[in-house]
Amino acid sequence: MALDAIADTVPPWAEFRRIGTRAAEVDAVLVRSSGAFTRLFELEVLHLAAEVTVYERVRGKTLPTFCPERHINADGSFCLGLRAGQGINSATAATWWTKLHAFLLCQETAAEAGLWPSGAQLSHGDAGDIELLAEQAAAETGASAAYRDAVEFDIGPIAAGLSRINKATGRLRNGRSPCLCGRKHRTGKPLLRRECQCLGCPIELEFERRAAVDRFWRSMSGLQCCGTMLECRLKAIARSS
Amino acid sequence: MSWNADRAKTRIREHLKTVPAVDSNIALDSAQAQTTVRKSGLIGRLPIRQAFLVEGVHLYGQLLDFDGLVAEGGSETEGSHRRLLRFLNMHYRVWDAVVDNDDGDRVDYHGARLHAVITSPAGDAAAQITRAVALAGKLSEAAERLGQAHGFPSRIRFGIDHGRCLAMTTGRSHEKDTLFLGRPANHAAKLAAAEDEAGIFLTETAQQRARPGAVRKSAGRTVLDETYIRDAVGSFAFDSLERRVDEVAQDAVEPIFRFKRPELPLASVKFADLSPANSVRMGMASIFADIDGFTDFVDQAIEGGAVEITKAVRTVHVIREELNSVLNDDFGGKRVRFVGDCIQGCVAEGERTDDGPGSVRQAVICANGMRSSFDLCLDAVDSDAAIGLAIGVEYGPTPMTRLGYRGDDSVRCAASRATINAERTQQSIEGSGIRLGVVAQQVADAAVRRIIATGRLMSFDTASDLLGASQSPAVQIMRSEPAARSHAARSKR
Repeated sequence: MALDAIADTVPPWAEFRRIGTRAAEVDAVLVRSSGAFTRLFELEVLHLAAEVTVYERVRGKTLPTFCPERHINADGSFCLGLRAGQGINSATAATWWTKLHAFLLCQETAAEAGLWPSGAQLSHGDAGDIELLAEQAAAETGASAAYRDAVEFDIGPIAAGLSRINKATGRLRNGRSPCLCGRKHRTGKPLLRRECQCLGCPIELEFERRAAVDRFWRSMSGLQCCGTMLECRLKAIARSS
Repeated sequence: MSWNADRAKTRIREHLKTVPAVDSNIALDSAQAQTTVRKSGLIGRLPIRQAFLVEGVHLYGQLLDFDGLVAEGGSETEGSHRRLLRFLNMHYRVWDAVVDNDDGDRVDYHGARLHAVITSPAGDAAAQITRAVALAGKLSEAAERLGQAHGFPSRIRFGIDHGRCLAMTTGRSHEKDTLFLGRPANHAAKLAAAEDEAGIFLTETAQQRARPGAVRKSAGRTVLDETYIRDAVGSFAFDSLERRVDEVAQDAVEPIFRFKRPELPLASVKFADLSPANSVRMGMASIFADIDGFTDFVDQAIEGGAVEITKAVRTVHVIREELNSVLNDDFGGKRVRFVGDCIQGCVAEGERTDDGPGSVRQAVICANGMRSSFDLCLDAVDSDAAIGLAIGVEYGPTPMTRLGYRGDDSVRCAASRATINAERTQQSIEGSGIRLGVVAQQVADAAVRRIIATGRLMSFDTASDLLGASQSPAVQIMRSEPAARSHAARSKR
C-alpha cells in the first residue's frame, strides 16, 4: 500500500497524519540555504487508482490553484516529477519524499522571484520524455552542458544547430555532412548526420522537444494564468487572444 | 563562502553594541561638538564611535579626466593603471595639504573625488561658502599647474552645498571611514558628478546663502560671478597648499607602482600592508552598494531632533557594518571604503588566473546576501524607514593600493574602469535593485543574466536556488536525484 510506505519514511521536515485508507495530511516546513525556514505548507495526499497525488489542503492558500510553470496541474495536483506518483512502495517512498522536498523548496523560490530554478524541472507534458532521451544522447556525445544551455537558456551549439533543421521533416539538412552535435565513430571519425539520426541526435531531439512543448501550451489555451511567474506562455496566449 | 541567517542575526546584535554615541544636545549644535569637529583636520581623525551634527559647507571636486586615464588604446593595462595611480597620488598629495592648517577644513577622497568640509568661520554660511569657493579656485589652479608639470589633463568640476549633516567615524587604523550623511553632502556630490563641464557650481541652497553678488544670471542659468571668485581666491592664503603645489610640481621622482596578484580570498588583503611598491592587481568584480532613500531619512531625522537622530545613526551604523560583514566574512570580499551611506568593495575568484564569470556570480550572490542582511537589520533596529538597497556590479582588472602623503592616514584606493562603472551602474538604478555593468553582463553566465534581468535583489536563499549554488538544498537534491525534477503533465480537464 503506497500510503503505508510513505508513512514509514516520513522525513524530519514533515508531519504525516493518516486520514483514511486512501488519504493523509502532511504539514511541512523546510530549511533553505541560509538555515531560514520556509512557510508552513499544509498538504493532502491521496492514493487514487494507481497514483499518489499531492494537493494543497486549502486550494490557493499559499500556492496557485493552477500554474504549469510552478508545476501545479489544472486539478491542483503537484507534479513532483515524471510519473512521480506511480509505483510507490517501500523501495521508492523515500524518493517520493525527496521529490516533494525539492518541489516545496522551489515553490518558495518561485513565489519570491517568479522563476523556477534552472535544472530543477523537466519539460512540460510529453516533452519531458523527449528531454530525457535527448539528455542521454547528449551525454553520449559529451554535450550535456551544451544541451542544458539549449533547454534552459536557448544558447550554445545545440541551440544554434536548430537553425539547420528542415522543419518539415525534423531532420538536420545535408545528411552526408558531419553531425553538428559532434558525435564520433569509435575510430574518432565524425559521424554523418544521417547516421546520427538513427542513434538519436541531441539537436533533432531538441527540435522535437520544443514542438512537444508548443503542443502542451496549445492544450492549455483557455486556462487562466495565475500571474505569479515572470515567463509563462499562458500570459502570452491571454494577451494574443 | 555563504550567507547564514543565524550568523547574520548574531553579528547584527554585536553591531548594535557599537552604535556611535549621540549627545542629547546634538540638535543644538553644541559648541563643544563643533570645536571637536573643527580641530580634527582630516575627516578620518574625527573621534571614533561618536556622532556629531556638523553645520558647514560640503565641497566635492571631481577630476573630470580620470576616466580617460584608465585605459590605453581602449584596454586597461598595468601601464595605464600605473599612470592612473600616479595621477591620483599627485592630486591626493596636494589635497592633503588642505588640512595642514587650523581653519577646520577637512578632506577625504574616493577615487577621482575630493570631499572637503568647511566649518569656519563658525555660524557664517556666506563666509564659509566664500572660503569653499576660494579653496575650489586654488585647487583648480593647482590641478592646472600640476597637469602641465607632469603631462596630465587635470580639469576639475566642483559642487558646493551648505547645511547640516550627521558625521560619524567608525573602524580602525587603515580601515577607518567617516560618513557625512544628509542633503548637503549628497547634493554637492551629485552636482560635482552631474556634467563634464569644469568649474565651480553652487546648489540652489548654497546660492541663496552665498554673499550678495556671488551669483549672476548668464545664458539663462545661474553662475558664480568671476569677480567674486577672484576676490575669494585672493582673500584666503592657503599657504600650505601653495607650498605643496610647488613641491609636487617640481617632483622629479615619482612613486613606482609594482603589482602582484593577491592571495585569495581578497578579504585577506590588508591595506596596512599595501603601498605603491606593494600594490595588488587582478580581475575583480567591483560592488557598489547604496542605501536608497537614506538622505531623505537622515534629513527628516536632523529636523526631528536628538531622538530621531539617534535612530538614524543606529540604523546606518548597523546596516553598513553588516553589509561590510557580508562582503568580508561571508563572501571573502574586500571593502575599499564606505562612501557616505554606500559601501565600495571587490570580490574575486580564480587562484591562478582571473575567473570573470566566477567573480561576477560571487558578487551577485553577495549582493543578494546583503539584501537578506539588510532586511534583518531593519527588523533589528525596528525601523519603518522608506529605505532600500541599490547595488551596481562591474568586472575588470583592478589595482588596489594606498596613496597619498600621510603615512597612517594615506588613502585606500581601488581604481579602474570597473570601480568607476560599478558606481555609475548603481546610480542608474531607480529606487532599489541590482544592475550589472556592461563588462559584467558580458562575462556573466546565463543563470546570472537570467536573475539580473529581473532587476531585483532577491533573498540569499532564492538567489542560491536560482544560481545553482552548492549550498542550496534544492540544488543538492537535483544533483543526487535528477528524477526529482518537477514536471507538469498534460491538462486534466
